[in-house]
Amino acid sequence: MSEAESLKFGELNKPTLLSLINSKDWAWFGLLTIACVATLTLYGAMMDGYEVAILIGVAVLTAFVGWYWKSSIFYAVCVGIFSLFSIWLYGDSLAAGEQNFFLKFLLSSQSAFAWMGALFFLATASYFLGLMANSEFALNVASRMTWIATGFGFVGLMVRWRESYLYNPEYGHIPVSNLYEVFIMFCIITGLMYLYYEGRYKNKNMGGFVLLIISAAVGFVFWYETRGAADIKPLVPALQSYWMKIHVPANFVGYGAFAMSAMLGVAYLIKEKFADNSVVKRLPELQIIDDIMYKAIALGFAFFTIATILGAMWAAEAWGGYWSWDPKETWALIVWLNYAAWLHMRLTKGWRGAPMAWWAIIGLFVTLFAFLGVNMFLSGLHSYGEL
Amino acid sequence: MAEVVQNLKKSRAKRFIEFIGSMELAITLLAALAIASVIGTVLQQNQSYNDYILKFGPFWFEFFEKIALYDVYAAIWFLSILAFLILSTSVCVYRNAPVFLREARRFRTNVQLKSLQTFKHQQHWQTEHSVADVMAMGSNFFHFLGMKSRTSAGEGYELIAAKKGGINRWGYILTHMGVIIICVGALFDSKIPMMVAEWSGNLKPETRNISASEVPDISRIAPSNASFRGNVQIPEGGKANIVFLNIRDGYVVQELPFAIELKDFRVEHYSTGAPKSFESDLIIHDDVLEKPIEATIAVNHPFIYRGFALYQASFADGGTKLDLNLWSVRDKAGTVLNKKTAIFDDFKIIASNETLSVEMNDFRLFNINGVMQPDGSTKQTNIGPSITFKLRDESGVAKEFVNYMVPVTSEGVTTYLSGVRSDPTQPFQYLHLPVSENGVEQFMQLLARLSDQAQVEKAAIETVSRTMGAALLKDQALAADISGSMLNLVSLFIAGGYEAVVNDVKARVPEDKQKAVIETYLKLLQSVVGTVYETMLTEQGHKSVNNADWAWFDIALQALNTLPYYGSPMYVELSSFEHIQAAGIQITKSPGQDIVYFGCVLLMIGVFFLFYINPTRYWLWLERKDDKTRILLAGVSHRHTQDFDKQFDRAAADFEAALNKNKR
Ligand code: HEM
Repeated sequence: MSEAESLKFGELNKPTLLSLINSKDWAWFGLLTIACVATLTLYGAMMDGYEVAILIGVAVLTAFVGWYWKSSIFYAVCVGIFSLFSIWLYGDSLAAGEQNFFLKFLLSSQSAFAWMGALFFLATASYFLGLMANSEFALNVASRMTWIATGFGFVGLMVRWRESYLYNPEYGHIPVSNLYEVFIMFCIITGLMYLYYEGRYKNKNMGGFVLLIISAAVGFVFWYETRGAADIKPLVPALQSYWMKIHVPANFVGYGAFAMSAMLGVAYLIKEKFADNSVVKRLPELQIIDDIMYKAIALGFAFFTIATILGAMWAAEAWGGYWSWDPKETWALIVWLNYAAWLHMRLTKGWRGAPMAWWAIIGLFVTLFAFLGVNMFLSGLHSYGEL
Repeated sequence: MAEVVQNLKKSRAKRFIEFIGSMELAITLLAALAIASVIGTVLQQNQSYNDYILKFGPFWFEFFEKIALYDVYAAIWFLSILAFLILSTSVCVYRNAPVFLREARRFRTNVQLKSLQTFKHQQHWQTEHSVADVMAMGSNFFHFLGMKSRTSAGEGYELIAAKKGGINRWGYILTHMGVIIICVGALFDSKIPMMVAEWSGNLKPETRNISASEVPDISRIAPSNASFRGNVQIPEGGKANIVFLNIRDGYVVQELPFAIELKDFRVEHYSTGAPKSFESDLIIHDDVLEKPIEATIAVNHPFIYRGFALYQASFADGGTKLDLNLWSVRDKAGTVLNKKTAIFDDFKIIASNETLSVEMNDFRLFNINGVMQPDGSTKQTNIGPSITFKLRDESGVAKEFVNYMVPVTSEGVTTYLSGVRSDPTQPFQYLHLPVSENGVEQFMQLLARLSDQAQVEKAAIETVSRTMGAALLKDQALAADISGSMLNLVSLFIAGGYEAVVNDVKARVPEDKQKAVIETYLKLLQSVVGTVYETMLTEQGHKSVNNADWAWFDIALQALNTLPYYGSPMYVELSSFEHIQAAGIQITKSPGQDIVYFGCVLLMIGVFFLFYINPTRYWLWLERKDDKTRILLAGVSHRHTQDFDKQFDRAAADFEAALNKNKR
């Protein structure tokens, strides 16, 4: 055997795509396939083509996310089990929500959201405690609580979906139809996105900052509940469209990512300003914060692009034109342009650090206006005052 | 000399191109676009010009109009920003794309050792293996990393240059081409052709409120127009072959090559009364068709015909036929006149020598309101059909009324509601008329009796004889006096309510006695009116007057008290109707839509290429010195630098492991 031969690199097993998928992944794919097939056999007759496509799309997406981010598998399984369990507990009557112990105190959508909120508050405090006191334990607890909080939120949404049908079969719809429901989705998505980066960068010290914005959202949700926002209401005709099911969640990946990047911007500025402070020192390196900030904005931008395009396609079907300069639409464009400019400065001019952090923070206010302000202060097609 | 000038010229042109394609200009334009959009959302667009005048006053109104703030997105300056952005982006792509692609294709085998040594990511080794062996191994290594590689040799060294993720550069091209294509597509669907027609004097928006057939040719657009977005309202059973396009405070008529007939319009409701669906059954008549096509459209479910998209956009009344009873409440109070009319019709009435015009504005079949329940909660309840109309006097001043057909029960009392207001920004004030078996007739009869002097006199005398004894009335003069003042009291009340009675007392009686007198008067008034009522009931054949009758009477008194302030000489009762609805259909033609969608697809793919494909390059530099092969592995990635730290470390470790494994 010649020497050159023995130096061949092939012996190091060039990884193929198949070798990157382990038995756990296969089990996960199998489970999702079974779930899909079961759903289609049981309920296929009631679903139209779009719904089947959305179901399969969601399964593929979940499979991919699970393969790419292992922790999400356990999470998804738990959410699935608890959701099915509560739906089973409900049976055919909404009254079970008041009578059954589990539903009443844990799993009915209202209880689940309450738990979600409480856990997010506690996790925020715990993250900051861990950072201040340099306590690994507190940080770990905070991280667990964040996982459970997002779990409660997700299960709550799934259960609310079912509850809407129990409440009145005519009203049944996916809970992404009003400000109350999307705020909860915002909390869940932002929480999960943060957990992903926490795992990737193995650093929990910046958790408090991100959870701060989630806690603010939870505060809003709790206040909003006191104004009857949690009531299940039927869909106005304009919202009765399968586009809603994909347009709204895609938007919220964007909003969540932008919110996270802004909070990381805050962490960045603090770290830079008080570099010598012993507590601040424990925050991740400036470059790492900067890097996550960029990644969050890139992810948010990608999803926001998709969401806006989907929105345009929906508008073409509902309002008679893909672009009407409706205030919500226009503000989505403003948000998009803002982050496009941000990305240009970073990628082509090489801007880094404090200016970009400030810009990300300002970006949050622009985003917030698009997300909330437009609904509160401006009227347009999106407010569905009339038909 | 000439050559120098030429060069200077060239460089100026070049500099201009560079400026147009520059990042600075692009960012400035993006910012300008964002600010303009903010203005467009904060200032509500395309409202009626009267609203703007009210809001801003004449000076600012005119100023804002000059800079086209009422239709920002069609303003010249706004379109110029967009045009510059397209231009700037195109120039940017034109200049960068070839460079980027060439760069992406090249392997950079001409790299210098010196520059490799400045790289952040590098690793050195020494090995006994020959250069040729390590070269072979290196090629395999890069293959293992999924990279393409090229070898080259120079003076005393050999080199492998490897790369992957070049498709990232395509991301740049796709996103920017996407943006350009979207804008170009949108251009096809824009109002620009119409604006050009207007400037060149071929088109003039109509501002008068006239019927479509009267609109002159200068305000019409032929069916061949490639792109538009307009609305038309068609009543049930009606037909339209035009749509209206709004331009600023006017409109133009767009003709269609076919006609649309509305067969039926339906609103379905949830059990709360909130609307669940809006649907229109349409029939399309077109000469090219053998027989008309039928189609149903609903919100979110348009119908596309010959490239025209038909949308369910709104709904309104289509001229519902009404059968009204006009009850006079002033002169000849209590008499009734029947009138057949329809929504959008006008008619005249004469009252107190004044001619009033009645304009029937709207009919609503359902009115879902929060109605207070006996337990204090409010419940969404349908309070039945209503009509809205205006009463305009000779000087043009109008009051608006809304009358409900079905009685409403609120706080245990059942009444007919009629709302009135003179200012459209204010809420309605309601008149409550008591209900009996024969509707409002009972109340009107009471009103008629109270306006009849003989009836009131009779009742006055009866009241006095009941309360003060019949003996008193033997005195003729006193009797006349008493009945006269009671008559006065009642007519004061009918003309001005309790307030008129009170004011009358205040004008005539010393202050210290006012309170007592007022009390007595009001009591007297109520007994007289009560007597009139009792008489009426008796004449109608009632045996006795029960509690329910007196409860009715209380409401009637309140109604009589407010009636003088009602502001109308008549009460309009809706006795029956034939509901005719109209559907607002939006019709669009947007040939640019598919272009825009194509641009969107490019944009989406491009964004993912840009963000999630990480272009990386590696070099392996080999030198033979002192019987050893010196190895330098260097790598670079201008994206995701944090991730690349790890990637490079792993690659270097793998490479080292392979080297060691093959150690002799
Ligand atoms: C309508 C205006 C424009 C829009 C919406 C737009 C959008 C984008 C987007 C979405 C990206 C990807 C994100 C990123 O990598 O930054 C990008 C990248 C980029 N854009 Fe633009 N762009 C516009 C105009 C321009 C102009 C006029 C230039 C020329 C100077 C330009 C140069 C670049 C460059 C060089 C990149 C980065 C490519 C890379 O480094 O891989 N863009 N742009």
